[in-house]
Amino acid sequence: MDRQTAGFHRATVSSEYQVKAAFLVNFPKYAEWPPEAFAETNSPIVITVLAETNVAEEVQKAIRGRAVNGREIVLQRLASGAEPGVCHILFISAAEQRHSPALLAKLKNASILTVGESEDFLRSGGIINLARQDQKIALQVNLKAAGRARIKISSKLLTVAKLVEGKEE
Amino acid sequence: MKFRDLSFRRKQTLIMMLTSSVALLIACAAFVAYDVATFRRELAEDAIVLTDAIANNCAASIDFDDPKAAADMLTALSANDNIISACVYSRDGSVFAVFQRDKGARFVPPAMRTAGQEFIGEEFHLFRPVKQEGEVVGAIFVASDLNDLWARLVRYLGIMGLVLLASLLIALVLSSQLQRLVSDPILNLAQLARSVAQEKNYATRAAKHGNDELGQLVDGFNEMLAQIQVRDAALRTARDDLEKRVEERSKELENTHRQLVDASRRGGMAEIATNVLHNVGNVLNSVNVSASIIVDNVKKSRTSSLAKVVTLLREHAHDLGAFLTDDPRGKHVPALLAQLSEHLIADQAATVTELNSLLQNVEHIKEIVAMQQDYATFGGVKEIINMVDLVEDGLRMNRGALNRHGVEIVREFEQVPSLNAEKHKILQILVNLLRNAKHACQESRRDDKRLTIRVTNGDDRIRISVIDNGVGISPENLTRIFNHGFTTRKDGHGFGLHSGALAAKEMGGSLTAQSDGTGLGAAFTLELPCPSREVPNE
Repeated sequence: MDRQTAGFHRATVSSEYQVKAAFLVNFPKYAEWPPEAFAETNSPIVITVLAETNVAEEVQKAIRGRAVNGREIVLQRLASGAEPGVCHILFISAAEQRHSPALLAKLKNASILTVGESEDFLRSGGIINLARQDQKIALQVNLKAAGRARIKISSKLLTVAKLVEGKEE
Repeated sequence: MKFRDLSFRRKQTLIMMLTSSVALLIACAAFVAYDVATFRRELAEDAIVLTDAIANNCAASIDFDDPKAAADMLTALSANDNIISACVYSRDGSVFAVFQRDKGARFVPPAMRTAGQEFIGEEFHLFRPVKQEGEVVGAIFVASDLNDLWARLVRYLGIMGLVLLASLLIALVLSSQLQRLVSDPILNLAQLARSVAQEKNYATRAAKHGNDELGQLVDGFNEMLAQIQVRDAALRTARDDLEKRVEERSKELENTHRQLVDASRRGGMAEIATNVLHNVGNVLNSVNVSASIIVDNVKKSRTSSLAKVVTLLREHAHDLGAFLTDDPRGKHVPALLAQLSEHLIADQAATVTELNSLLQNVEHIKEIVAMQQDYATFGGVKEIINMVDLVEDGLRMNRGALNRHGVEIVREFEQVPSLNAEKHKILQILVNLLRNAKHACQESRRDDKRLTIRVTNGDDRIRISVIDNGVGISPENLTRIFNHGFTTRKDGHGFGLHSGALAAKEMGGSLTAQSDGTGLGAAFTLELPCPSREVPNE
């Protein structure tokens, strides 16, 4: 926990990506994938990052030693234009934004929690967008997309989300 | 008032009240203590439930860096009046969000702890972890005041006071009624004991109410009374018996006393008689002397010479003239006759003188005897007495002896009222005192023997003092001089002064002795009451 705390501390103090990396690592606690998303009950949660190296490094730091419900969290880097393999969370950085519409369209029905950081990410079919708002990172959630991916987003997460789309009335 | 002096009834009530109030207090205290403990536990439990609910909702705000959401969550605590402050800590222990009921108050969040609870002063502090999916993401702190607890405590104390008061009132009523069961028999017994002590009526009995210890006490008390009654009766019998015996003894004593008085009177009379006889003897001596002188005178009478002259004259009857003128013998006859007649006249005068003396002495004897007869006759009868005459009588009786021993008699008589008393008794005492004085003077062998008789009066008393300048009395003898059988004289019997003192006492007076010591004389004073009103004046 100390190491986690230490990592979190750095994330809050330093760059935006430290915060975002921490968010990424925290998402598995607030999301529920369908059982078939995991081969085993203790299969790791795979976070795939389509981003610059320094972003991937921040995520790697945030992951260190973390586990959710007995599942390890594993980082996977995705090269531009490549397709992700077994993956639970896919982060597409702003720099790779141009790939996202195609990728999102392709992964539309896969149980992958897609996370982006661009304004139209949710419109493109992404599930969570990390938007900048008042010097902070705000969560934006597209529940319709989550429903398509058969991923249940915790209501707790929704309470802190600044924007929730596709909420069922 | 001290407790031990309180009445039994009050004591009992007090004890009951004290006992019940202590019991009630302990019970109430136990209830309150239990309630306070329960309340604290419940308070803690409620706080934990509430805090955990908030903590659960705070996880996301910590995880996704949203302090405002956390602060909103904490605001929900305002629904609970007890919570004064709260805060949420993030993973690294820094304060993430704060809630304060009183915005003006200063709230310094304590250092983060992921769990723990404690009562500090008047606050309850609770730390709970903020978890998400089993992972601790931070902590929450809630501070709650104990106002509810105090309010509850105050309410409880109020209820307790009311209950206590009501219970004590009921206890008071109950105890004052129930205590009669115990106290009434005791109070009755005490009342009975008091009345028995006051009225001395030992025939009373206490009523018994039961067979408990009080019943036993009543039995014991009654038994005691019965015993006292028995003893009382025995005592009364003994006392009556004693009274009777005392009466008998008194009667016997009275008889003895009377006999003694009689004896003493007779003794005194005998003494007077002896005295009288002695005096009579003395006078008789003089009588005898006078008689002898007369006999001698008569014997020596010149009647024979006269006869010789008569014979001579008868022989010369025929020549009587010649014989008287011529005869030498006849010439002497006239001268002889003249001488004879002279002698006879002288003899006659001497005889007459002696006879007169004889007569006088016989008269004195008559007087003494008459006096003795007088006192003997009127013994035991009171009469009006002239004290001076009585004293003179006494002196007269002893005159012979006093004269013989050359005792000068000094009379110092005051005017005293006449006295109503038994004459012989006083005379007896006086004669005894005079004789004693005479003896004392005689023994001293001094030349100026003197006896002073002083009669004085004052304070309704007549005092006759017989004062001599004789041998006196030593101090050790002075104290026992009136004792029966005490005497300093060889031929004394120690009865005179003793009976004299008794007689004086009998007459309501006293006989006292006074002497400055051996050789310094003595004074005996007979004091007799002489109430002026008793003396008839007419």
